[in-house]
Amino acid sequence: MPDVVSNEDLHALAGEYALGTLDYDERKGASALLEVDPTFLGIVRIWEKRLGDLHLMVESVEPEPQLWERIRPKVAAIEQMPRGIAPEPDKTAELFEAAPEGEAASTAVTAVPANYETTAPDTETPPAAIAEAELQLAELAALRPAPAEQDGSALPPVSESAPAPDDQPSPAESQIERGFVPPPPMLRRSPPMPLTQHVRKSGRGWMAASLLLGLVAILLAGLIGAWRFFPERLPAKLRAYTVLNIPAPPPPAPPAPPARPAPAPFQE
Amino acid sequence: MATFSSVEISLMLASVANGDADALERLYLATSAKIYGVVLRIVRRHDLAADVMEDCYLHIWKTAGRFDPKLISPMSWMIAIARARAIDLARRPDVAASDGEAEIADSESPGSLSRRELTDELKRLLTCVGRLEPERQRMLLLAYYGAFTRDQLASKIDMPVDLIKAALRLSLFEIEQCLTS
Repeated sequence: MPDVVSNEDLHALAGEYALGTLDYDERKGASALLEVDPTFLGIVRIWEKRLGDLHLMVESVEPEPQLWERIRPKVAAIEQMPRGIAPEPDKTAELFEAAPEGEAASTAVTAVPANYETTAPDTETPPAAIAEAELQLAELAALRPAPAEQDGSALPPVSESAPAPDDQPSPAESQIERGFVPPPPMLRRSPPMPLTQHVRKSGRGWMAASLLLGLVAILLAGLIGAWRFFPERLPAKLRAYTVLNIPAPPPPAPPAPPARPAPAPFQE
Repeated sequence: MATFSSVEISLMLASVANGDADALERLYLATSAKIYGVVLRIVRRHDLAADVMEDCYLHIWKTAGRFDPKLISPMSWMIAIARARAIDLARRPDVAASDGEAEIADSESPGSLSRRELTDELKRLLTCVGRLEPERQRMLLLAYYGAFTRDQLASKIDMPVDLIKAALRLSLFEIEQCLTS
């Protein structure tokens, strides 16, 4: 392989690596590059992801039943990697060299621009992170429409209340009567996961903001209603002339004495 | 055989990352046939495919904690692992030399696809692949499913190796442009 590889060559090399068309020497070189060049690793991962959907069109073939029994006893001996450490390329050198399997120490790779394995250091305890991930996945699963072969619907009903009977005001009307303005309903659909989490996170903030604004609106409406209907009951600080900074209305004048006709200026 | 959704597979992987060996068995039961199918088309021998499968699931056990469902689907993640190992094995000189012992005939055409499996990403990819010039399209799919080297492709398609390399690179470039536009 040449010492200096152009950017185009790097992309092409990564694409062919993922495609599988490199010969033995090229593949060996590319594997080595994967371990030292995080950019190259990132591009390879992108290609693996792009082409990965083609697997859906490959026919399944059942392996022999004893295969799992061969794998199972070896599981306990393998130490699992912790979550969220810096990603490393797959260490496939042992297959290359036809060496016996062994857990060779992989060189850690520092931050990778585009990689489909998590790079964030693990700041929360693993069980909490897993529980949250499982919860999010479960919520997403609940939102998806049930596939044909499963019994029962996994989709929770969108409208929570049954239609109100005629003799009672509908829930919406009675809510408005009490001055409560319900927040707009959140759309239920099955978006891809990142969007769901984003909507959920920003949804909480927006819901709180709309509730707060609604509360302010109720208070203002109540105050204006009080000004209109029973201003005398309000303490001085809340009265219209204080709040709006307008001159106070004159106190009601004492009833005027019966007016005497003014002496005519001209008496005849 | 029941088909599991991406979410269900991701949940199994999360449990595997937790150290749950039973979850690994459930994952194996859910995914082994598909992965075996992918691997077998590359190494073309059952004994080699079994070796790859073992290596693959042990690696999945080891690294399940690093899988991030936001970045890639679980099956694509697992299949990338399986393909990398299968291709490395197929390229090993002693294995490559024994290509004549292949038990599986290579075929160009992929299997059938139910409508449920036709995801948006696959539709987009197939659209982009479909826009390739027919000869190059055939070459790309043959290359992907069988993971053939350029030399092997050259003998199959009866085209000079240099042209194969240029054609593959052009196809990859066009697919990238199509997917990112």
